[in-house]
Amino acid sequence: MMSRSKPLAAFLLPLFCITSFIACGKKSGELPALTGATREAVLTEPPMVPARVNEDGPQKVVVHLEVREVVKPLTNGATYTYWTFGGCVPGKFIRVTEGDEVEFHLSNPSSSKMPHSIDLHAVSGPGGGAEASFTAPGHTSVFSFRATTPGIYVYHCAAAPVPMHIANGMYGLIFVESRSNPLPPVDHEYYIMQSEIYTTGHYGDTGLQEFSFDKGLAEQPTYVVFNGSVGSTLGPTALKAKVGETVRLFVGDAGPNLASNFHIIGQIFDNVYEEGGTNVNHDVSTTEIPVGGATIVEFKIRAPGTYHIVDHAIFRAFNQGAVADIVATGPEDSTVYSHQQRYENYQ
Amino acid sequence: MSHASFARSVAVLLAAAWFPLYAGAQPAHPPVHTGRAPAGMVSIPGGYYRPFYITKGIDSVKIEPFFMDVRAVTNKEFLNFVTANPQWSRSRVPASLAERGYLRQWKSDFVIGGVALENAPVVNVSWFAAHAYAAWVHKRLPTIAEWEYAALAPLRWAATPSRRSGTIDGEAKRELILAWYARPNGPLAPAGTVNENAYGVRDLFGEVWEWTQDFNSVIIPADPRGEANPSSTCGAGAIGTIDPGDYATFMRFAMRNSLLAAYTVDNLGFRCVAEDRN
Amino acid sequence: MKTSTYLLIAIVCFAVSCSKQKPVGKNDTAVTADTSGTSYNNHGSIYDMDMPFTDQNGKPVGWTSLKGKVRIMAMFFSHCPAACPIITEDIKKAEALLPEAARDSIGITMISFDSKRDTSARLMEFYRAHNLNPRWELLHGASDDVRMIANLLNVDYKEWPSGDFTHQNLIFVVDCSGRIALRREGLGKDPHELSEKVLALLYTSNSCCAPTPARVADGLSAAR
Repeated sequence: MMSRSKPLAAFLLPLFCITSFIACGKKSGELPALTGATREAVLTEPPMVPARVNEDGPQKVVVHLEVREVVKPLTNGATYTYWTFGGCVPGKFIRVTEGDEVEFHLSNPSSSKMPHSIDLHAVSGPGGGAEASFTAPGHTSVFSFRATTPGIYVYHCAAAPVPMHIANGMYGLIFVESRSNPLPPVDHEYYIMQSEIYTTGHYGDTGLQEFSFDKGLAEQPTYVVFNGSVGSTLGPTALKAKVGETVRLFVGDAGPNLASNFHIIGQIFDNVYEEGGTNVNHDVSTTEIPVGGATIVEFKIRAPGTYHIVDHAIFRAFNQGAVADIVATGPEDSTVYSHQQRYENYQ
Repeated sequence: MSHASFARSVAVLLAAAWFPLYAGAQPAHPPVHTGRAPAGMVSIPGGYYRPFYITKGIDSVKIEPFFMDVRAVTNKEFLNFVTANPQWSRSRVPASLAERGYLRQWKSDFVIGGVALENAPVVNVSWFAAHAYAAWVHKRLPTIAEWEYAALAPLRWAATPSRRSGTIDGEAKRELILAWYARPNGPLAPAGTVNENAYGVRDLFGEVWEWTQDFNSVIIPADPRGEANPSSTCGAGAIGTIDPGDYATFMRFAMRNSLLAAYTVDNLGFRCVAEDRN
Repeated sequence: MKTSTYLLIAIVCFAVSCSKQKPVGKNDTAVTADTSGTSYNNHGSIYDMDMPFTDQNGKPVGWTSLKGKVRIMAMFFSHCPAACPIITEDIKKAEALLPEAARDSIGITMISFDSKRDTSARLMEFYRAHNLNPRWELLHGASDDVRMIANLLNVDYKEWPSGDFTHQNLIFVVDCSGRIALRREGLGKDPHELSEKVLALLYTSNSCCAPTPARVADGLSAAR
C-alpha cells in the first residue's frame, strides 16, 4: 500500500514496522507479517476472474500452474499450436492480495517439447522469477515471492527465444489487490488480453498454421485477437451483463509487438486505472495499453445491445480479428439512446 | 470452426508428427560420406565452428575431423547395453545417476515392449547413462560444438516422382526445423528415417533432442567472477548471439540449459561420436 | 552437566529443524528449484560413481574413498584470477568457525576443472600460497572424470581456448554418505551458513556420522 498515497504511507510505514516487529521479532522490512494461514489459489480461464478472497491478513498462497502445448482453433478452419499456461490463452488468471507470499509451482509436463519459464511482472526481483522457474519437460519448479505492490500485471514465458514463446500464447495476468484500498464491488469482472499471431499463411488460411519469424520481426501480424483466437468472445461466448450493471474488465496487452488502443464501441469508461497503476482517470473512451502492460476499466451499462470491444487501430479490428463482444440485456431507455428515429431522403 | 474440421486438423497434425517431417526429406541411400568411418557412422570433416553465443576474443572453435553416428541410439541398442551392464537397469540405477522416469517407455528392466519401438531412438536416459553407453561402445558423446557443426550442413531431399533430389539450406531449412520444434511431441518414428544432411547424418532434427557431452557448459557471462547462472531470460537469452533470428538454435541451447545430468525426458535421446585418428 | 547436555542436543536439533532445507521431491514431475534459480537434484549419493584422482601430494585418491566424512567441497582451478581464491577464503572462514574437534573430523575437498595445468605440483603451490592444512585435499584428474564430478554436483562450467574456465561459484556441504546437504552459490557470503551445516551434520543422529559423546561435548562449545 506504500505507493498508493504518500501521506498514508508516512502513517502506515511506522505502523507496519511496529506490527512486524511485535509479530515476529525480526527484520522484515516494510512487509507485513504473514498470518500463518495457507490457501491454494483459485485460477480461472478467460474471460472469468477469480472472486476476491477475504482474509485476515497476508497469507501464503500456493499457485499450481501447468504449461501445456496444445493445438486449438485459431479461426474458422484453422488451428495453431499454442503454448499455454494452463491450457488456455491467455493463461489462467491469478488473484492475490497485497502482502501475500506466493509459492509458485510451475509444471512442464513430459509431453512438452520445450523448456518453459514464467516472468511475473508482479515480482520484485531480477528476472521476475524467470530463472527460478526455468523448467525442462517432465519437471516442476517451485519458487516464492512476496506480492509487495498492488496492481494488475502481465506474466509471460521468458525461455529463449522469448518472442516465440509469447507469440505462441504464453502470457496471462496476475492481479495483486490492494489490502487497504480494495476495488469497489461491481456486478461483473472479466478478463481480456490482446495479442498478435504471426503465421506463415495468410489471414483465413485453413489447416494448421505455423509461426512466422519473418512476420514477427517485421511486426506485421497475420492476426490481432482478444483471448487468443478470432471470435473467442463473440456469439455464445460473448461477455454478458444487464442494463444498470457495472462491469470491470482486467485488460492486458501481450503483444508481442503492438500496443492496444483499447475501446468499446458505444461505451465510455467511468474509471480507467491507467497502466494498472494508482492514477485513476475518468470518462475515457479509448485508453492505450502498452505491450507487457495491463489496465483496469470500469463502466456502467446504460442501454441494451451488443457492444464491440476493439483495438481502435481499426484495420486490426476489421481485418485481423481484434473484436470481442459484450451483450447487454434489459429494458430500452430512449432517453439514454433512441436508436434510429427517422430515415429520410436528403438532397 | 466445425467440430469435424477441427478433428480433421488434429488428425493432420498427428499424422505430421508420426510420419517423417517432410515426405520429401527422407534419406537418400546410400550416404556418400561414409568413407573410412566405422559401420553406422559417417565422417565429419574438420573445420571451424562459430559459437552461437558470442564470447569476446573467440570467433571460432577448431573442430577436428570426427565420426558421427548416422542416427540416434535405439531402444534395442540400449537394451544390449543394459543387459551387459545390469547396474544400468531401471530398478538398479541409483537416483543420483537417473531420475525415476529412466527408461519408463520400456515394459520392464530388460523388456522394451509397450509403446516403444525397438528401432526408435531411446529416450528417458540420463546424461550419466548416455555417457556410460558411449564408453561401453568405445565412443563418446559429441560436444555442443561438434553437434552444432555437423548440424550446419544442408539437408538432402531425396528424389521423388515429382521432384529431383537436392538440398535445403538457409531460410528454408531453418523454417523446416522450427516447424518441428513448434509441434508437441508425437510418437517416435524409427531412428534414422528423417532429415538426412549432406554428411549423411540423419534426424539431428525431427525426432528427439540429443544429449551432448558438455550440455552444461552454456554459460553466458564469460567473467568467472560473475554469477555464472546459465540463463535464458529476456536479456541474457537474446543478447550476444551470432544470429538472434536463429530461433531453432536458441531452442536447442535453451533445452540444454534446462537440463541436469540425472534428468530423463520423454523426447531426449543421444547419439555418439568417435575420434577420427587417421 | 547431564541436563545441559540434553539441553544442548535439544537446541542443536531445534536449530537443525529450522535450517533444514525443503525436501526436494523426486518423482515424475517434481524436481524443485531453489529460490536462487538453480534447480538441482540432491537425492542419491555423489559417490555412486567412482573415478581416480590425485591430490596435491601426488597421492592417488579414489572418489568413493571420500565417503565416510562430512565434507566441504568446491570445484576450482588454480589459475583462476578472481573467483576461486574467494571460494577458498570463504571455506577457510567457515573452517575457522568450527571448534577444533569438528575441524578434525571433516574433510575439505577441492576438485580442479583444469586437467591440463593443475598438476600435483601446481596444486601444492596453491596449497602453500593459501596457507592450507592437511585436511584440505586438492584433486586433479582426467577431464572426463572432472566432468563426471561436475555433473554429480551439478556445476556448470566451460573451458575456453585460453585454458581458463567459466564456472558457477558453488560451495557444497556433503554428508558422510555423499548426499548434498547444502549447495550455496555466490562469493563472499556468510561463512556461518557453511559451518552451521557442518555442525548440524556432525551432531545429529539422522546423519550417518553418529554422534559420539566427544562430539556432543564439542558441539556444546560450538553452540556457545
